[in-house]
Amino acid sequence: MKAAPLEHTVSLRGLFSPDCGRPLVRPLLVATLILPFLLFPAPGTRAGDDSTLVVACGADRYSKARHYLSFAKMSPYVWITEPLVFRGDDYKPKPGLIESWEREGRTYRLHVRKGVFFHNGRELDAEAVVHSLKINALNRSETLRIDPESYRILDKYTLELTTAHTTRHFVGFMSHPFISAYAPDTDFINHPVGTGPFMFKAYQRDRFIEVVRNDNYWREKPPNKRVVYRFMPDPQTRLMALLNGECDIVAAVDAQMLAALPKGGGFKVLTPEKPRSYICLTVNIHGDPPFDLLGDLEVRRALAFAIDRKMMAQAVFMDKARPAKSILAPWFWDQGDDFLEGYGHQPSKAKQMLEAAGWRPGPDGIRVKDGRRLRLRLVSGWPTASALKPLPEMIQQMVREVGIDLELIQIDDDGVYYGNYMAPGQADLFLEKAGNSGGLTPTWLLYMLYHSKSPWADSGYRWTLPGQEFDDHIDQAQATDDPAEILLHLRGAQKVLIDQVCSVIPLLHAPNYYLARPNVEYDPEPAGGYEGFGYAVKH
Amino acid sequence: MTGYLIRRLLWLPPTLFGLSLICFALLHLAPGDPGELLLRQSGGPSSAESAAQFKAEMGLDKSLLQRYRLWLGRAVRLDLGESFTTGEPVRDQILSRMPATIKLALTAFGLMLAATIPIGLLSALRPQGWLDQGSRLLAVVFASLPNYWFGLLLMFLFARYWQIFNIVGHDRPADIILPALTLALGMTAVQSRLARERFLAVLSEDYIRTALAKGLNRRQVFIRHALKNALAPLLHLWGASFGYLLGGSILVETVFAWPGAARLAVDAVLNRDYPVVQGYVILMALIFVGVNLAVDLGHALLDPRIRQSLVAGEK
Repeated sequence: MKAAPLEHTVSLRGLFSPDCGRPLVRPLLVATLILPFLLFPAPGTRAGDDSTLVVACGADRYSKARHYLSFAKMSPYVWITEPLVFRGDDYKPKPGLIESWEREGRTYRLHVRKGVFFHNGRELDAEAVVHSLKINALNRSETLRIDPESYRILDKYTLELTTAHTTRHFVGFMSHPFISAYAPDTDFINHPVGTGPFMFKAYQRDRFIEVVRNDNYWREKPPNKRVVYRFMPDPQTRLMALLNGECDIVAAVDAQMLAALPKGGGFKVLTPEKPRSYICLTVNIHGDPPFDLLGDLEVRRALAFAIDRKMMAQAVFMDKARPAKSILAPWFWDQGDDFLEGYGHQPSKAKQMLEAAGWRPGPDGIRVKDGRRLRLRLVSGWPTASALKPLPEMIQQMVREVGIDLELIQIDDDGVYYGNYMAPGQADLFLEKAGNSGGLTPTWLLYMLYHSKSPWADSGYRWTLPGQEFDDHIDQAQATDDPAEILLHLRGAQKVLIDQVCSVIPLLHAPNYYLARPNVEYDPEPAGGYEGFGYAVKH
Repeated sequence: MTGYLIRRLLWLPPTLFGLSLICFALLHLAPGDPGELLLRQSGGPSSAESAAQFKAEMGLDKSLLQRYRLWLGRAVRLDLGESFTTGEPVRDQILSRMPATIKLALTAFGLMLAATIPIGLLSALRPQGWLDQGSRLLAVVFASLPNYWFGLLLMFLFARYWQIFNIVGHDRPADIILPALTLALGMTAVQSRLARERFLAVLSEDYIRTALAKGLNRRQVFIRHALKNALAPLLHLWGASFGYLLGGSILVETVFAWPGAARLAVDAVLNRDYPVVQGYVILMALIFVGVNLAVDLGHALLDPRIRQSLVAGEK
């Protein structure tokens, strides 16, 4: 007799019959679904009460290292400490903790404001200022260049010091938040004690920094008793946290967040009237082959004329950015920008210039000269590569219209950007965004980036140096106290840099953006460029 | 078994040594000088002299071999040096962040297991059934899409739309659910399919049919024979996936602002903070080796054939 096939006798599917699989599987399935809720029943909660302001910031960039000195002084600037000298709206230094100053040669006499107290009750005096300046020297910055042997305390509120700087605008350097007042005999690394409107409460790396109001502050007291700055590296997370009521203000906003912000709901997009950053193309004018094409001034100028700045401002920055003719904003030292010819959007002129320079359209529209294609490399790098998207792609399309082929490289890594591209000059163009409020003195930024004697001249900026005429303007601006003469040379230097040599192509003056909940009032126009989130009013 | 364990542990020092050597070399071959990077990011320009002095203080003026020797000398005393960027001891920095990452990985792992076994089983018991088809479709979807995107989607649904959880948080136990779920989804998709295949293979084995033909209780057959034999090889996959969950949490930690060690490591890579990267790699290697050892031992306990082969290896 032939045996029946085994599967006719025993069905594997029988395993799923009520007496076998199901009693085991069902509870497993149910447990899978409800386990998380049983284990973690706590419901979500919304952000702080009315006396607490929560600010969503980008990644935590603070460091407690002695050589770094960034804790509580880098953005977000939480106002535990204050710079020794304040900046006015025009970026000229104005009295702060240092009330007045006099200069004789390279020696400065500083008069300390009386009646200002640190959070621990100690009075600010000349000794505390010397202590603070010595702390600043730990980071090996060349910003102040004070001779450490030169400090002299003349009386409780007066001191003298000598700097190696030849510039006459030394006091302006002290308006940088890095050069702040710290109480002597305190742990400035882990628990900064300053004179600012907020006192340090707590810090957890990559999570938050919390400050509370200093009720004895010597100037206007902030409205918020407590401010918590929460670090959220991802832009979309910051945006959702705002929409969800988990923060009151978003401090680090990029163009893509603006595009994703839902219409309606009353959320506020805040921008200062006066943009404090500039976006430009830094041009490699001294490059070696194959990055030598922009050694030709006519090609550089043609490229500058091919770019539609207005379209970039509208499409990417909601029309809040302004087409730029200069690097320093027109309102900086009231310099204006009429002194520059600049580069409007004139593609036909760009084409003519390229024709005149011998570049003829090839079969694919890209120009060719002596068998060489007009192909350039543009690098958009750290720390703004992500924030500047999609500007590189827009520039690529615009210059293609006039027959220039642009290779794009976008890197969010400082080491690769600097080490592989910028320092060795391995590109024709570098897309950069920077704060022109770095203007500690009127010539600071221009000197640092483009002067041949600057500490940075050996770095990647050597490919861009415009030459002696530019250096002369900067040197003369640094050697005078006369505001009219400073302005004259400031304009002269930019004229050389942009119109004559075209080693920098200004694109936009771009504002910082802030997002706020409907019940929050925040003035995005901070005096002197200092962010003042702690002064936002929450209704 | 004891001999096997000792043999495995003896392999640990050379493994860590080789790994640290490779990691050290790779880090130093990467473009970007940490000294220059730090000075550039610290807010002010520096002269060539002060930059050179700064590098000397950080030990970056020494040759690669000298630096490695110094690092190794300290590492064997469990001193991983100080972070270039924060100045804090690397060991403290990593250990203070590791619990958050381990907590996240363990929760994700638990969720993955809790989903993988029932889905794999049910799919195997009813091949081509609605659950099998559905889980196949979901597996393709979850395995293809980045967990970054899932994170944002879950945030939108559970925090923004239903308002069950917070977008960002670390203080309440519930705050871990969304990041853990995000981390677990992709892995669950793959693992449940592998579990299904394994269960299917075991269920069609002769010994299962024999056991059923002998009239044994189906539940007994299922639990004692099928489940045990199916799980043994899956253990290795789960061991590897735990490592993946630990190391792969970087995107999830970024999206949910979760203060874990993976984010610390990525920031350290970007800042060329060699001591932190080196310390993180060593710690991860230790965890990987430990998990794999535990898995091997677990496999041996479940499968007598493996146990016998290990014992035979000792002889």
